[in-house]
Amino acid sequence: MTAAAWFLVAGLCAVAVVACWLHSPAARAHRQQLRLHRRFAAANGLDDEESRALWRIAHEAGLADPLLVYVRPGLLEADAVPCASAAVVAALRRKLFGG
Amino acid sequence: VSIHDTFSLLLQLPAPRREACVAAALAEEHEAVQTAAVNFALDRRGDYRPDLVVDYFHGLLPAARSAAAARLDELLPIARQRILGGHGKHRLPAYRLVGALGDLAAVELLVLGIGDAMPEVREVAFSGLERLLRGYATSGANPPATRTPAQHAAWSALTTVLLQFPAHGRTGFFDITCEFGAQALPLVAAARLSARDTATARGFAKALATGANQGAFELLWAMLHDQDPTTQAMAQQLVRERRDEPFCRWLAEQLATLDAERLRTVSGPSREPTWLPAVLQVANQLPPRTARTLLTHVQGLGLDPNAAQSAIEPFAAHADVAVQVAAVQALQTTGCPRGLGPIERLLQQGSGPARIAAATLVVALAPPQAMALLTPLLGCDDPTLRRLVVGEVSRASFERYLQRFDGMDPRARQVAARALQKLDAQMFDRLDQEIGSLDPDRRLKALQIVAFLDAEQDLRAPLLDLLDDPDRRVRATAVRVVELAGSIEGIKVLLGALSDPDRRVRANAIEAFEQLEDPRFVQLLTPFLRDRDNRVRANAAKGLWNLGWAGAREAMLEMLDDDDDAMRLSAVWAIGEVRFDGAREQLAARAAVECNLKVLDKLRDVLAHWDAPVEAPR
Repeated sequence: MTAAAWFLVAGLCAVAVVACWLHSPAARAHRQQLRLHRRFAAANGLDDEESRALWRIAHEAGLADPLLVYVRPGLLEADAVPCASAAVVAALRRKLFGG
Repeated sequence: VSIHDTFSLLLQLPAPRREACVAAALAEEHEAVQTAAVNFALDRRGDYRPDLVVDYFHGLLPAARSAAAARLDELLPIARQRILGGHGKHRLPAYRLVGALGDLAAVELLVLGIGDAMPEVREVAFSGLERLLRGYATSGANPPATRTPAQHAAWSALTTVLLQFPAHGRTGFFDITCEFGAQALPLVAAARLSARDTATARGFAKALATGANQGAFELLWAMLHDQDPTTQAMAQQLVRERRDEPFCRWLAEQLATLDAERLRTVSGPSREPTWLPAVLQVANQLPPRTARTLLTHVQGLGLDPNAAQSAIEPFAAHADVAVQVAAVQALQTTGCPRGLGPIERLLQQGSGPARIAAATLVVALAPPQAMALLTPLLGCDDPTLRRLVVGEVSRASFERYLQRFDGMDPRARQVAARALQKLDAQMFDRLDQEIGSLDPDRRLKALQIVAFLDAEQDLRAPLLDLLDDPDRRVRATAVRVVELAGSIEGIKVLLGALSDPDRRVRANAIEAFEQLEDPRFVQLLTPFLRDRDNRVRANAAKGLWNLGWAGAREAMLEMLDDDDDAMRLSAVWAIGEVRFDGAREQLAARAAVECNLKVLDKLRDVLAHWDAPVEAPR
């Protein structure tokens, strides 16, 4: 096989792997969570940056359900949230919990 | 607003995810989040999960707890179900909710918890019972006949926890029992009878000894009246030891409502009643009517004078004048063996009637320092008090004058008597008393003072009695002092005195007849010219001369030549008094031959003063 053929096979395999992953239950659940997160974020008036930051916070907190971050203001009370700027965290506190 | 948006979106989630979010929100220490979660869980349009609120109730912050309390009727059945359901892990939160929010009907549930295997459950159950029972006690316990089932259950629960005191050691239930007042008396009896350990008895005693609420007072009062001697003795001991002002005041008010018979019931076996220390603690702060009533009670106790004075003195410090006066009058009956401290204060600082009462007491008791206490009041504004003090000071001065009378010369006696008369309006009353004295020396002094003051007319009636006095000195002086002219009774007395065995009485009687200046008495007096006593004979001669009987001259000259020295001495005196014509020469002739020095001295003295006016009769 020529080198080109090898490259083609490798590419097809990669596409197959990605396709498999995209259609896996975990991926679907992840996408669903993300969709719900965006819906909750929009309902609470968060912009994209704030929404992304809140998503990261939920994941870094190891929440079983990332939506729990919307009812756990304690996660935003830390002095320094590593994955978000202080300004973003303050905006999140204000928009989600009114303070 | 955002939290509500979040919770409204939760409805789009599957039930398990919703439950997880609500549970997380209820557990989060954020009031707004918790409140929104409570409202979401209790929303009948949604999942309606009151069980979640029950489970997480313990961690709810006040606002969320209030939101839950508003829906209590929906939560309590869940909690009840979990408690009665047995040993599941959810019973602790259920107890917590019932303990925190349940009403009196929840007592039945909480009682189940006090025997639970979990210490946390027992703790919650006891705390809840304390809250509910205290609330019931504070709202006012009603008699058994009118109690609701929940109230009956509450009493039953209280009995249970009291009987189990040795196991749980919660003394708060004793305080609660006390708050129920007299209604709790059966509980006290039941606990005392069944609890043989001293810890329970001590716990009850401590609660009753320190309970500062009306209920505790009423319970103690009810125990004092209890038929059971042990209960009564316990109450008496506690009353004896309590000194806190609210209790003492309350007790005093109650005691003041009792009659003597009921007072004896609560007083205890000893002579000093158990309630006395408590009452004395606040005696000066009580309402005047109460203080006076208690003072009467104290007087009726039959205490020994020392104890009685100690018990009465605090009332003298009362601000009300009527109480002060009553206290002072009561003190007088004790004789004040412990001193006059409070009386001194009243004399110095008291108001009108109290000072008068205090001064009256000092006068009545006549302590050694009486004059020191009363003298500063001589210049007081109150005329009644001033009159009283002046009278007493005068009396004391008169008494001192009598004591020093014998040591004074006649001139000083007369000056002092007249000075006292000016100060003392009651001088004649005092002399009257002295004339009636049992001591003849005092009567004699009184007679002499009457003479100094020329008070014979003012004191005539008592003086007449002294003419028959058993003491001859008194009789003799009385005959001389009393003015008898114009009195048939007096003449009779004088006639009797002429035959008195005492020569001085006879002599003075003769002198008295002389002063009557009535010649008809000449015949009556002539026999006394032969009296064996020189003084009687001299007085008779002088009196007869002054009554105009010429034979008296010869009688006196005959006495002047008598062998008896005393007779010659009296003759010199009598002749010097009457000074008939030729008397000087007669005396001079006698002086030339007189051998007795005493008679000679008298002769020289009379002759030396011959030109001077004749002195007043002896």
